[in-house]
Amino acid sequence: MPSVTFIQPDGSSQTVEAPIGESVMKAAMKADVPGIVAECGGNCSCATCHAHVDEQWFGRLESAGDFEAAMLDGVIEQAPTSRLTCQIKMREDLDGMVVRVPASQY
Amino acid sequence: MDGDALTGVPAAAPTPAHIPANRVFAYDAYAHSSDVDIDYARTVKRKNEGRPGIFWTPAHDGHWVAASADVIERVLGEPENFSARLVVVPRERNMDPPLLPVQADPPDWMNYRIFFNKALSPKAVQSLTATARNLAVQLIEGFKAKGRCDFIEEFSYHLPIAIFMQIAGLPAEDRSHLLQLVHRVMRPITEEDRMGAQMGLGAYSVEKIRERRANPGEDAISDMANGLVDGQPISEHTLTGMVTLMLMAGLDTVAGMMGFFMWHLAQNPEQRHFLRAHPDRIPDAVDELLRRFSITTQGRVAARDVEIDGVTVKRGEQVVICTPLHGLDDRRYPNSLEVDFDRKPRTHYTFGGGVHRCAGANLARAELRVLLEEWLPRIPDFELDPNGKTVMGCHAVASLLSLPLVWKP
Repeated sequence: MPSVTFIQPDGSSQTVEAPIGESVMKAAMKADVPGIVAECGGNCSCATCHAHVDEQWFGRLESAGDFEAAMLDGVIEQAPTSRLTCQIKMREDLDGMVVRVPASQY
Repeated sequence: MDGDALTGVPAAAPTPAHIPANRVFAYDAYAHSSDVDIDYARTVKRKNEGRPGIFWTPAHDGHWVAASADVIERVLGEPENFSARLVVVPRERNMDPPLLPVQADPPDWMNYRIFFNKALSPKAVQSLTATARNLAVQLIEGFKAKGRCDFIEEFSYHLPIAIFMQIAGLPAEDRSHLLQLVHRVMRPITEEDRMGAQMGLGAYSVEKIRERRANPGEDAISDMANGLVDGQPISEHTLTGMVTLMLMAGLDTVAGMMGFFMWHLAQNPEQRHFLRAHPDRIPDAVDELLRRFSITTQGRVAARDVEIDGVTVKRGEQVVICTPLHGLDDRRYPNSLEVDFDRKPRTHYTFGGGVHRCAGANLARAELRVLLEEWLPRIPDFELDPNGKTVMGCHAVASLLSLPLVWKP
């Protein structure tokens, strides 16, 4: 089972199972990763599943579509590698991806 | 059939043949206005106690009622089965052309929903919260010395209007005009007056849409007015609906919820004192009070035959969702009528769920937090005015129309 590692602002980390085809957000929610809120349940409508994808992995992702890109402009702590984790579908070649949780979604 | 009397409903529609008799109950989802039973959510729970998770009522030409947390979650979570094309009963009362994004299903829904998501993003909410806070302080300081207020009239509509004006980039001098129109829509003297005011809001919206098409700004109206769907600009008709939705969606809902919060706290001094002493618990209190005092009634129409909770909902049949029946479902929330700030989990369906879940949920939460954060230190002890009358009115949204409060200045 592939996995994703979430790093918290305080440096602590959690490596969680991330099934192929499911979103990185769902993987975080199933494992109770703190700081990924996902208010709207994965509908690209709230921007509270926001995270900073590690630079080593960011380039491998399919680019954000227009709707996600529009939402990213409204996140707290926007950064060049910001993504909405509900829009990242897990693939085999993303096994081991590192993602940083922002200090706040609000 | 047991249950309450149906008000002003023409000859009850015959029950479709496929629905078993033990799933049929009398219930009018919109008729609970009262100056006696102020607690709308409790009334809805009481009237539906013991009923199955989904049942049929002959009211409003006949429709289903989603009456348990599990059923409500399915109906709101499966747009492929339960379309938002029809959101009120009876059928003919639905807007045509449809109000967007409310009456749209995925994927088209997102073409219109995106504008609301952007206007109400976490970043936008931070800035709008500052506006709400400044105004809340101004209003409270304004009536504190009087020792009394009608909370609805003198406080609760003002924040949502100021916020809408900021989202839409409207000039301060338009505020009293908007306030007057809103007043005539929310507390109409006649149906004619209400419709006139709605048309006034529509005309005002069209004026702004045209202005912003000619001279775009950074505001939400400019964004929508110059936006494209499948490469085409959005029609003026659809835009007018979207702009008025932006105003109305956050108005009687937020004002209504604020009213229920203050009605509850006016009668629960220990909880007031607790929150005043522990303002860090205010966010938890806001979510628990949101759960307890659900106010909206939603609707869907079956897009195909669906098996749910042991019945078949046939294609074309409408389902009404009474959100209090989620928050006050004891199977999901034990002792659901009790307000317990420590209750876990903290999730609820007062903002709905699924793709149409309230786009303004975080803004609403922020306004409610600001209310408690700024009111409690300034007016820590207050009561319902024994010489005044609290009035609750409802249609698709329940709200307090009048909430007289008194305190020692």
